[in-house]
Amino acid sequence: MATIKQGSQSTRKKVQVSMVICEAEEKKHRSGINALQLDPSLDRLYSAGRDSVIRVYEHEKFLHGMEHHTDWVNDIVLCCGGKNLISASSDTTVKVWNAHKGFCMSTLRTHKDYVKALAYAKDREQVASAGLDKSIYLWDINTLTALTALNNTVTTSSLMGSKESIYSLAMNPSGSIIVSGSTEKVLRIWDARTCAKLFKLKGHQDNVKALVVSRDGNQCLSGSSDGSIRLWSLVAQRCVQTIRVHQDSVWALLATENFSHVISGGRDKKVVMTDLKNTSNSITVCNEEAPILKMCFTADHHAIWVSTSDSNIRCWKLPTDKHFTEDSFEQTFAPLSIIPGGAAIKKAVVLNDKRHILTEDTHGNVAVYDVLRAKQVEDLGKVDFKEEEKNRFKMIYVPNWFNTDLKTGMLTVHLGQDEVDCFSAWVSARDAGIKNLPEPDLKVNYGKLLLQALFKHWRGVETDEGQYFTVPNHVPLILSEVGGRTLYRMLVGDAGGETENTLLSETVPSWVISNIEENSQNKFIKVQFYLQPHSSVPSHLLKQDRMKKPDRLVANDFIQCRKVAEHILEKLLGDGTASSPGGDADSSTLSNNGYNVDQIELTCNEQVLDPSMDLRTVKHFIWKSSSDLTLYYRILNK
Amino acid sequence: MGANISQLERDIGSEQFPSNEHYFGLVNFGNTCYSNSVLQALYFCRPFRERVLEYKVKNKRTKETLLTCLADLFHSIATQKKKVGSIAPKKFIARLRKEKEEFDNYMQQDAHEFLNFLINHISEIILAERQQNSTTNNVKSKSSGENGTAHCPSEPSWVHEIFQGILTSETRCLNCETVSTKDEDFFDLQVDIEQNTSITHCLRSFSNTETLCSDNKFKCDQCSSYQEAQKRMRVKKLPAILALHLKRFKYVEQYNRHIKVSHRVVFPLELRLFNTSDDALNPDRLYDLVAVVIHCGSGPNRGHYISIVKSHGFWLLFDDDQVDKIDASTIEDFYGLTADTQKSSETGYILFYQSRESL
Repeated sequence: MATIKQGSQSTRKKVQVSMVICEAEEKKHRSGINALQLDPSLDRLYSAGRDSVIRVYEHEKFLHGMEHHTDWVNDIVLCCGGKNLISASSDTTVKVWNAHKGFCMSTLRTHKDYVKALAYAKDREQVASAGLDKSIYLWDINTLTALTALNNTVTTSSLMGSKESIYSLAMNPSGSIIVSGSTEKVLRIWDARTCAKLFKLKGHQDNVKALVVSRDGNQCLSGSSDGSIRLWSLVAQRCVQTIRVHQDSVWALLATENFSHVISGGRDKKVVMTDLKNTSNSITVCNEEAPILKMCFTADHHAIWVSTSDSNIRCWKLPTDKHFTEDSFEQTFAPLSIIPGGAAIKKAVVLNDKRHILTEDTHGNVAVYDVLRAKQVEDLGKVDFKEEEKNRFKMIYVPNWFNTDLKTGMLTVHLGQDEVDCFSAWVSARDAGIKNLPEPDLKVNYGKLLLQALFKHWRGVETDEGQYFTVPNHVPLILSEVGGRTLYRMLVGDAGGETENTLLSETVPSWVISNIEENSQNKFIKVQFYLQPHSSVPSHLLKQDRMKKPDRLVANDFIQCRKVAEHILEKLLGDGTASSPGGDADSSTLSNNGYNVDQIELTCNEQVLDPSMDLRTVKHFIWKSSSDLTLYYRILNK
Repeated sequence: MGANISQLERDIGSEQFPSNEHYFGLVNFGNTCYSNSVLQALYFCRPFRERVLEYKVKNKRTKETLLTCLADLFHSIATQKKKVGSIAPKKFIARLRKEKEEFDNYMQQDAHEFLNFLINHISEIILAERQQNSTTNNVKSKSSGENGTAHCPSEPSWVHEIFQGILTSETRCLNCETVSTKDEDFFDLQVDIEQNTSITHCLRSFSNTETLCSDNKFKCDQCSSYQEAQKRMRVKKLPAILALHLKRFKYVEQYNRHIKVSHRVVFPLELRLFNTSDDALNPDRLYDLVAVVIHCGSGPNRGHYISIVKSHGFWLLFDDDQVDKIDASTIEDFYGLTADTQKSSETGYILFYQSRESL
């Protein structure tokens, strides 16, 4: 890691802590694959996509994963003869990797929105990046790979003039021409050597999603969401061919080395090869199972690797010149080979205990995850999700204390201090499943427990109370601005390292430190409620003024109805003064009036309340309103 | 005043004067022109008038609501012995002031806010009464052992049948290009206006594509993430009476108040909608202009409301208790101003278009 965004705590946006629940080694792609690159000399295929991991396959076998991005990887470029890899991501960064060893060398944070596309000029070892911030930056790769922690300033040239989000980018190997495609529906062309804006080409009716430039920079192919492919002469500055071979948007393009044929992939799940000299001559290469996102040639150029919005990568044979002349290509219905992908979690419902999450993946498997342990605890197989959700319903209410998202196909849990306060859930140790405690009624805080587990290895964080829960060391821990950029990502088990330590000290927000380091004050959540006697309660038992106005009380939200009943027995029916229940009262169940606590019956909205039900559950499931809760009490005869 | 009334009768001519039609002005109770102008426009929306009068006949309830007051007012106009004159909507205004705090004063009010309140409120009254009926019916039918034919509460009221349309918002994720649609009901369309244009143009702009980007990205279910998206609103169900609210009062931060936008916007006598969705039920509906509420003056809090209506082929101008026959060509005077030099203007504010094949 050569560069880290510097900045004082105060100038930053609010920081949140996130963790990704994943396997120790994520060998398979979870979701759509946006980018493919081949290193022919080592027969290595690089693939990257929505699960944020760049994977390397050698001779079609998984070699290793390159993890450092925190959002979709949208494009990758292999450069320097296969030594380095550049990646562009929706986490707004561009990263430089040592491709052979698989580690991240530096992170470029110049873009301000998703980086969608990269282009590579091989002869000059230059890479261009572009994205939704409308900017295009040109990078000199030899400078990027020389960056160190101390020397991390990098200069870049930017290409100006784009008015809308850029979705595609292409350069020729000599880096003389750079072309961008955007929602402006036009192609914009610059001279990459001088950064001079040259011209724009109009013709497409929708977003331009794929581009290829010929080696000499004289021709260009574009694929658009309008369903067409256009061949442009950059010399004549006009469209020379419009090719319509897809029933839907064209999302991926490849051109043969001499620009004689174009291979196109579309939202219609088809890959088509078209003769550019006679565009009515086209052959369907394959029908995939999902929309085509990317294609790349095999080493011998006789086949292509195809990636789609599902997680498989398949290799398909290409028709040869002979097939085009004789018109006899037998479309193969089986791929030459396949690198199978895994399943992405598509649906996640947090159960009422606000600790377990029920998920369903793209293969239809249903599973249960435990947030406090950051792992899957039950694999239910292919069962009915709705049914399972219904069966697991429990009438208990625990406040929300985390958010989830599924953008990478893995369960990501966010802890913050915004609308959802991660310290809002207090439960008894018994309910949290902590055994062998002298005080099972002791309240524990879910957010605090999880943060302690996540920062277990970090300097200075030692929990003398004993570790109730641990999370696996391989779990990625991410610090980011709320709804914004990633500040730092590392694995839970690495937090003890020296560099990690320093970086964590700079990034961990103070709200985390103050709540996990010291034995911080418990800030319980309060609930306000009114207590009213039922009409059957004999008036002689009540103080005179109790008949008129109800008692307004404040208590911790996890107080059980039994405690309220004890309070009624002690304070309202006796001569005592009213105070909030659940304080230091360890009252006997017998009161001076001769009534027993079991004889006090509480109702809310005419429903009798179970003594073990807590106030927040009553408020959420029975009162069903945000206004102050009203409870009635009456005395049952023995 | 007497001379003026006979003037109106003379202008129309006794032979041409439609039988069973009455042209009565409404007395102003101190800045109640916002209500008078809207009530006149609604009275001349034939389907609406007919349903209100029908309600008057059917409803035997004694409990006073804003709807019973409106029904009484319409009934009283429709059953006048004289053909022309003026009437004081005293009971209606009194009830209105009780129903809604905002109207309980003598200040200038926004005619569109009033229309919006009135239509929603009447619709609620009808639905509430229907529900009451069905519960009493249910009790009866239970005792007699028959199956009750209770109305489904979601079944639309006649106010819905007349004014309600459906807008559909189509959002296309720019990553996966999946289009998701969401429908919402409307009683009127609130249209931004541009200088020297037409209603058709403004409605087209209303349905222009908007890109959701940067901090305002769209959460795409298909992508499970925030992506850029293009969104547009189109009309899916065209109402029987299309009420168009021209957004003529614009908040200007500089002055910290709303100022009037007097832009000239042509509204044709016949209108067809072009911003309909592909699955629209009745995209070819042809609309005729039947009434216009006009704002006269320089700002939302200073000025006057009048209305022009079409009745039996000729146009009438209602200015509180005054009623005049006008030439159709004078409608042009209410399009607005081509230049923003003049401060005060008389401009179309709410347009009522009635579907030709409606009801």
